[in-house]
Amino acid sequence: MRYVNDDEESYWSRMFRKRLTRRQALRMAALGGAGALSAAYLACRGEGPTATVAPGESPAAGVSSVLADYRSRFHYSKLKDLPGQKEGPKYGGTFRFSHYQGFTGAWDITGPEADALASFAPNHFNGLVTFRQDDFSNVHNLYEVVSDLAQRWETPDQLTVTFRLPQGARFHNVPPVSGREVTSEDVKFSLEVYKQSVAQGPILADVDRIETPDRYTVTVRFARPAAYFLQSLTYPVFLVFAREAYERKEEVFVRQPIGTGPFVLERWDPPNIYSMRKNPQYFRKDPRTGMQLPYVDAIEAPILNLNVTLEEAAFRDGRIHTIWTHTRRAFDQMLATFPDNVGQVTTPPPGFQPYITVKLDKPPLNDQRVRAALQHLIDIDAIVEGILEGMAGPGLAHDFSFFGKEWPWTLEELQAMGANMGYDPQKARQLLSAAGVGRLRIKFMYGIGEPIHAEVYRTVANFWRQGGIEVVQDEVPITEIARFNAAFFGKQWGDVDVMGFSFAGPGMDEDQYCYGPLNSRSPRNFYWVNDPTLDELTERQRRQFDINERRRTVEEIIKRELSQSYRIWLVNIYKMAVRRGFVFNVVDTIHAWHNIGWGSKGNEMVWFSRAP
Amino acid sequence: MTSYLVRRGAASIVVLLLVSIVAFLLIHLQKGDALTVKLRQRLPEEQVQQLRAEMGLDKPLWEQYWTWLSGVLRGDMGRSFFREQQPVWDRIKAALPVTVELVALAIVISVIVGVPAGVISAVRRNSLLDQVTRLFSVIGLTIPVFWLATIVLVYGGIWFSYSPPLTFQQFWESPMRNLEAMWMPGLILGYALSAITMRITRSSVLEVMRQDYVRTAWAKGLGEQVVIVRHVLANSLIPVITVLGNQFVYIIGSTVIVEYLFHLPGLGFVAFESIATRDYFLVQGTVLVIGAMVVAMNFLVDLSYAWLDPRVRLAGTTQI
Repeated sequence: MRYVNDDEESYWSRMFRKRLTRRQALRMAALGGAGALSAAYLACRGEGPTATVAPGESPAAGVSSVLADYRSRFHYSKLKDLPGQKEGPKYGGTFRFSHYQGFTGAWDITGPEADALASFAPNHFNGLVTFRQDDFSNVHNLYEVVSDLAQRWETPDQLTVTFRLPQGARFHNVPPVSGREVTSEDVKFSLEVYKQSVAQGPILADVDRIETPDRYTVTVRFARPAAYFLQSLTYPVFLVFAREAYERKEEVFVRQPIGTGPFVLERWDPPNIYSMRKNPQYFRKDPRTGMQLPYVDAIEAPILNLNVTLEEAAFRDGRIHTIWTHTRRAFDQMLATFPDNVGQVTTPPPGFQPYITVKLDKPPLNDQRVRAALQHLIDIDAIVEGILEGMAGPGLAHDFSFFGKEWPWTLEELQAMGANMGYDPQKARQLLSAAGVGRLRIKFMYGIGEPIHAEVYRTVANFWRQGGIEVVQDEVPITEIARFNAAFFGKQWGDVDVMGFSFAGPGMDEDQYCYGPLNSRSPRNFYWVNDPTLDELTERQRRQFDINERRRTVEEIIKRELSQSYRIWLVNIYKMAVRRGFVFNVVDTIHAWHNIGWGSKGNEMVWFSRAP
Repeated sequence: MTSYLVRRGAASIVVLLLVSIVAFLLIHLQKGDALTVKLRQRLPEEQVQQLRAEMGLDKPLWEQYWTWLSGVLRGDMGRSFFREQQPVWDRIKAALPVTVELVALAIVISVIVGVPAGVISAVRRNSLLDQVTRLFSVIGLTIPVFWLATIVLVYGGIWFSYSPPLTFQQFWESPMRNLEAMWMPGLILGYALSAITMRITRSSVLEVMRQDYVRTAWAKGLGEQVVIVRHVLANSLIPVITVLGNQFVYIIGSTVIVEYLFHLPGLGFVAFESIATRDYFLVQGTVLVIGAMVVAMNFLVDLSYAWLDPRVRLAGTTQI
C-alpha cells in the first residue's frame, strides 16, 4: 500500500493560512504590553503529560517515583499496540528529523573518525550482523544478534565463525562500484582493513585469518577464543565496503559512502542538510513482516547541531517528525503539541553519562580512601531529584542488560557490589583522616557543552566544597573542546586532578566496558587504570563463551572497579523522545539514539501510516 | 583626496595585519589543536606526530603564520582541516552573502523605522506619540538581541506557529525561500538597530531645529513638510550616518548569535564553528574578512561625510 508523497506545505501559506483571530490579536497585544517578564511567566506554565497511565513493568526498588511513572507510561512495550500497527507498514514519504554535524565530512569508515561515523554510515552500508530495533523489540536489551548482510552464521567451535552471504546483494549503483554484487571477498577485504584501524582494530585483535571458501561464504578463524566477537560486530561501524572504492581512497572512498545500505547519499551539506534517497536495489527485508526495505522514499535531515530551541520550534510546526528532549518539562510540552504524539522514555546507554575520571597516579588521589571519600560526599539522590526532575538513576558505565536486567542498577544494588556510593559526609571525613589528608585541593575540569551535564558537575563541585575540599573549577565551553580533548584523549592533564566526562565505552558488548577502559594495554584506557587484577579479569572474560561464567567474571570486574573507586559515578539520565503518531519504528534503544546516533541503522524500518 | 585615500588604504592594511596576528595568536595559544578535536581516541605517538606534520601543526608558530599570510597574499586562504580539505575561501564565499544580506536587511529596517520615528518624536516632542516612540526605543536598547531571538523562536512557535525554515537557500537560488529564512532575524537585528537610530535621529533633529536657519525658514512661512524634510532632516543625517557606520560593528557581532539561533550559514556561524573545531585557517580567514568589512564600512562612512555635507567637502581640500 502506498500513499501520495508529502510535499511540504509552502512556508508562506503556512504562515498566513490562519487569519488573525481576535484571540491571537489579544495575545499579541498582551505580548507587547505586558513585556518580557509576564510573557516568560505565561509561557513557563507547565503543560501536564497527556498520556494515559497504563500498566507497565514493575519498577525496581529504590528508583525515583517520577521515573517509575514515566518509564511505565512511555515504555517501549506499548509501541507494538499503537493505532495503525495492525494495518501494517506502508511505503512512501520523506522522513524528517534534526541531525548534527558529527564528523568532518570524510566518509572514511576505516579511519580514526570511524567512531563518529557510526551515527551516519549505517544509512549507506551494511554490516554482517546487527541488533534489532523496531516497535516490537525489547529496546532495553540489545543482546540479540540478528542478520544484516550475513543471512546466517555458524560457530562450529570457539575458534571459528562462518558467515553466509545472500546472493544478489548489490552495492549502490555509483561508480566505480556501479551496483555490482557483494561477495565474500569484499567482506574479507573489509575485515582485513579494519584489523589495522584504530576504531575497529581492537575487536579484531584475536582474528588469525579470514577465509573465503566460496563466493558467498566467509570464515573467520581466531588465534584465541573471542567470546565478545559476534556481539561486538553489531557495533554500527563494522560495515562492508568495496575494494575498488577503497583503493581510490581520496577520490572516492572518503568523498562518498558507497555501500549496500538502504539509502544512497544525496547531499551532505553541513550546516544545511543531510539528505538521502531510497536505494532501489536494496537486498534486505523486514525480518518481522517480510516486506522489502526501506519503507520511506527519502530522508531529509536538517543539520541543526543540537540547536534545541530551533528543534522544538520545528517539531511544534510539524516540520520534523521526531525530537529528543533534554528535560521532562520539554518532553511534556512536545508531547502535547499534537494529539496523536507518541512518547518513549528509555533506559540510558552505559556509554553516555556524566561521570568523573580521576588521575589515579597522583597523590593523594592514588589512595583509594581519598577517592572513596570524594564519592561519599556526593548526594546522588539530590542530583536526581533536584536537577534531573527525577528522570535519572545512579550512574555506572557497565551494561546491566548483559545480565538480563531491564532496569539499571539502583544505589542499593551498587552498594551491595561494593560501591563506595551513598551520601555520607561523616564517613568521607573519616576516610580522608585515615588517609592523612588534611586540606585537600582539587582542580576539576569538565565540559559545559551539554548543559544538563554541566549542572551535574557544578553540583558535585559544591558537594565537595561542603565537605571541606577546596575545588578549583575549570569549565570548558564548546569552543574550547580541543583543550578538553587534548587533556582527556591525549592524557595531557597538566595540573588537573579530576575530569568530568560524558562518554564511556562505547560498545555493543560488555567487553567494551571492561577490557576497553580498564585493561592497562587497551588503547581505550583513558582512565589511568593500571591494575593487574583487572588486567587478568578483563582478559579472562574475553575468552568465556559460557554466558553465566562470563557474567560472573564481569561482575567481579565491576566489584573490583567499584571497590577501588577508580572512577566516580554520578547519574545516568534517561532518554525522552517524542514522535508524531503517524511515524512507526522510530525507537530509542539502550545503546543507540535513534535515528541520529547508532540507531540510524533503524531508519530503513521507519514507515508512515499516512501522509504527514 | 588621493593622498587621503592612499593613507587610509595603508592604515587599513596595517589594521588587518594586526587583526590577523591577534586572531592567530589567540586561537593558537590555547591548549589543544585541530588534531585533538578530530581524534577522539588515543593513537600511537608516532601516528599522532605524522598526522600533525601532515596538517602543518608541527612547525613553529611564526612559520605557520607566515605560510598562511603568504598564501593569503597569493589569493589562497588555505584549506579547512575539516570538511574534506575544502578551500577556506569557498566556505567564506558561501557564507559572506548570508551575513551581508542579514546586515543589509537590519540596516534597511533600522533606517525605515528609526529615522521617521526619530523625526516624528522630535517634531512632536513630549506628545503621547513621542512617549510611545521613546518607549519603543528604550525597549529595543535594553533587550539583548540573543534574548529577543530566543523568545521569538520559543514563543513564536507556541503562540503563532512561527518557526524558521530548517534549510537555507541563497537569494539568487530562490528569493522567496531565502526571505522565509531572513525576514525574522533581519527584523530582530533591525529592531535593535532602529532603537539606536531613532534616538540619534531624534536628538539630532532637535538640535538642528534650534538652529537659526530653521527659525528663518519658519519665519519665511515655509510649510512644515518643507522645513522638516529639506532643512532639518538633511542636516540631521550626518550623526545618524556616523552611528549607523559604528553600529555596523555591533550588528556584525550580533549576527554570530542570531545566525546560530536561526541556523543561517553566515560568517558568524562559520566563525563559531571554526573556533570550536580549531579550524585555524578558517578562523583566520573569517576574522580577516569580517575585519575587512568593518574597515571598509568605516572608510565608506568617512567618505559619505564629504558627500553629505558640503562644508566637509570644502574643508577637505586642505584638511581631509
